[in-house]
Amino acid sequence: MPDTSALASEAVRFQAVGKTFPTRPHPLRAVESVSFSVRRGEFVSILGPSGCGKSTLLMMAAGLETPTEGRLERGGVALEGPHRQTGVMFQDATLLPWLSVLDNVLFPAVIRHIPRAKVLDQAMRLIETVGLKGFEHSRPHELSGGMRQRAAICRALVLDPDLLLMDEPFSALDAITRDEMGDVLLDLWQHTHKSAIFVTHSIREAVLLADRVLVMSRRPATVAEELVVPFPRPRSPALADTAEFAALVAHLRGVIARSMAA
Amino acid sequence: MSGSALPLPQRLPLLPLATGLLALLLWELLVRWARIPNVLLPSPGSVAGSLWLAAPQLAWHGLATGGAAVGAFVVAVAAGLVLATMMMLWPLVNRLLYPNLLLFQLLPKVALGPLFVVWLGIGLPSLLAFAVFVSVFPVAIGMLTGLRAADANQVRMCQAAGGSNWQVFRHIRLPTAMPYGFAGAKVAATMAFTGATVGEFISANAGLGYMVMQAQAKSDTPLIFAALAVLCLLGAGLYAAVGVAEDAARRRWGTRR
Amino acid sequence: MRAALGSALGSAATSLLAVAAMVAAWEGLVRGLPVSPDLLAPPSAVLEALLRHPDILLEHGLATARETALGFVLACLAGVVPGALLSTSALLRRVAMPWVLALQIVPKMALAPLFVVWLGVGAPCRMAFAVFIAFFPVLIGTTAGLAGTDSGALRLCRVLGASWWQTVLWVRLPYAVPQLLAGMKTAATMALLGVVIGEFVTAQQGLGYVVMFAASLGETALVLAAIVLLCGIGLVLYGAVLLAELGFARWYGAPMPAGEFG
Repeated sequence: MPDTSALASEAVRFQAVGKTFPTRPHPLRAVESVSFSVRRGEFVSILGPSGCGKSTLLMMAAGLETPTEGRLERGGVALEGPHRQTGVMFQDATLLPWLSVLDNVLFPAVIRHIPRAKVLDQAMRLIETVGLKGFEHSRPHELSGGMRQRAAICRALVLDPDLLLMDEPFSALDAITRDEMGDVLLDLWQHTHKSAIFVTHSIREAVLLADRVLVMSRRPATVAEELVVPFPRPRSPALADTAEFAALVAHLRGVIARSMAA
Repeated sequence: MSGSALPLPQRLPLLPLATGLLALLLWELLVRWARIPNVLLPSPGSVAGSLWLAAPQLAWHGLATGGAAVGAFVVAVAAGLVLATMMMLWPLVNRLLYPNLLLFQLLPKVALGPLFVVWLGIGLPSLLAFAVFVSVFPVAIGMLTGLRAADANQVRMCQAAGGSNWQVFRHIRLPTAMPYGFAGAKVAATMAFTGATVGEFISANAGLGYMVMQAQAKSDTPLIFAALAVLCLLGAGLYAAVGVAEDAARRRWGTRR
Repeated sequence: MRAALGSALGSAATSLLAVAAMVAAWEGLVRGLPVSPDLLAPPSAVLEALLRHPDILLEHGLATARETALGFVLACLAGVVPGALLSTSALLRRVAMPWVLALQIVPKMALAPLFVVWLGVGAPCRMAFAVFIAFFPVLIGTTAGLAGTDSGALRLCRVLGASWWQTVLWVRLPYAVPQLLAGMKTAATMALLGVVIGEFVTAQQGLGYVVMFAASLGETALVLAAIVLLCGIGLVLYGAVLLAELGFARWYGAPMPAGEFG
């Protein structure tokens, strides 16, 4: 664990945040008075059933949606719109089909007017770390779903953000690729110590990756339970095969079942 | 992905109607204020006057054009459906016809109008044949695309259940193709009127196209506008009728896009 | 890519064969049956007519080709500019689109005489009519293309804080080009049609005029010769757009979304 006591402020802080969409005929209450914060360097998983509003929570953290109530802080300052130091991953890779893998990874630099030479090394390093070396000049349609999502991780990290937001990034992948991607992410994150919010409905992923797991209720989403994951870092994917891990997963499954019944 | 099929508005489009009325009003005012001669741009008022005065002729010629167009439309839809079905069921027919269909799609078919006059003489037969000729292609191609668009898994499911070729066609392909067929029929509705009118431009002794050419020769611009207004209304009417038929078919067979 | 090219060549060969078979059958039919050559001129007579009147056909053919090409270019401009404008404003779309669509439902080719009233019997009339006939597929292609951008890619742009211009240049335009090109292909055929119908009603010059004139004299071979030239002009223009499409597809490098408007 990085020493968080030296860094006073939190990466993200939700204070009684609520969100209502003005849909017709009935407004949709997606998020209800959510309060939590993510310390610098902390990995927080948000676990909940599909369609419970957890994605809305993440989109607010990304600055793509504004809360209708409460306050949302990023590094101690009220968040207004997308933040330069935030990397985001979505459910699908959203690579631009006419760009090569490398150009897709470098796309954020193009938008931010950062010279290619400045970020090329970082991009190549990331591409190598996620195992895409040799595919830099391939087009997205030539890659498998897992490889595309690897490219999307590189794109989210290429400008070295201090916060990584992930919205069910592996849910479109098959089970085997999905576990593989979880391992890639674990490895990558333990080398960088960024803050992260990871939205998922896979308990295994949530526990393996996170320092803390927030279980959301059904819509409107509130924090039903908060659980600190006691396993030390660095963790390896083998952790998922231990009895302690299985016990924690079982416990969380019970919590989710109760929050669904409530 | 069928951009050729324009959806009918679900509700009364108040905003466009309002702007349309405003445009008519501005048109009237502009013509009066700038003293634009009637020959160049008749005011909506004088077009309405022409509509009223020439109502009997407009009705008579409108009936001629409308009858020809609707007749051609019915024949074109029937022929298009039969063609598409044959091409779907018999690969040989498909191999022979499909390239020609596509080639014809690229050619300026309407330019072939005079040929029909050469072949069939001036009169209803050449007019009908020409209107069928220009409107049969969208139906055939649309329907064929639709028949081929059937979900491969659904086809396999039906075959696995012991379905014959005909049953696959009847229960899987036909329902999938219906929206495509209607999209083609909508284009054909417009094309049937286009064919009938252009045919009347080329040579005719009746119909709205003939009337327009006569009015043009006499520089009676308000009458041109009046005849074209009737023509547009008739064309839109047939188009709307296809839309109503489509809605009914959807309700009956419960397919949704 | 190579397989696709091969099958395209294969289908082109089939289609050429089918056309050749039709021409041969036509020749045989006219020779074999007691049909007057005035009614259905055999291909040999059409060829002879092409060779017998090179001066007339060339003069009128050039006029038609010139007006068609100019009309096509103007129609593209007349479609792209309003199409782009429409894609920027929902209010504009709500006001204007129903009228643009209504114009497609009515048999607009019948409106040719109006253009004679306004612009006389010269080239401006025919070109304006061609623009009027042909602009619509380009407009729809532009609007649909610009509006149909992958929503994930747009979200990515917002996360990265891309400006309006950057979003248009890097994402919206590349996504719009396939549909725009599809619209232009339809417009190529429509522009020629507009000029020919214009020539029918103005009866002044051009291949459409030759067709009408020869038809009135019963010179079927000359009618067909002029129509063959018309088809040639149409195919050349269509082929030009097709070439542009192939060039774009090379750059795009991935299977392009298909679009069709007419």
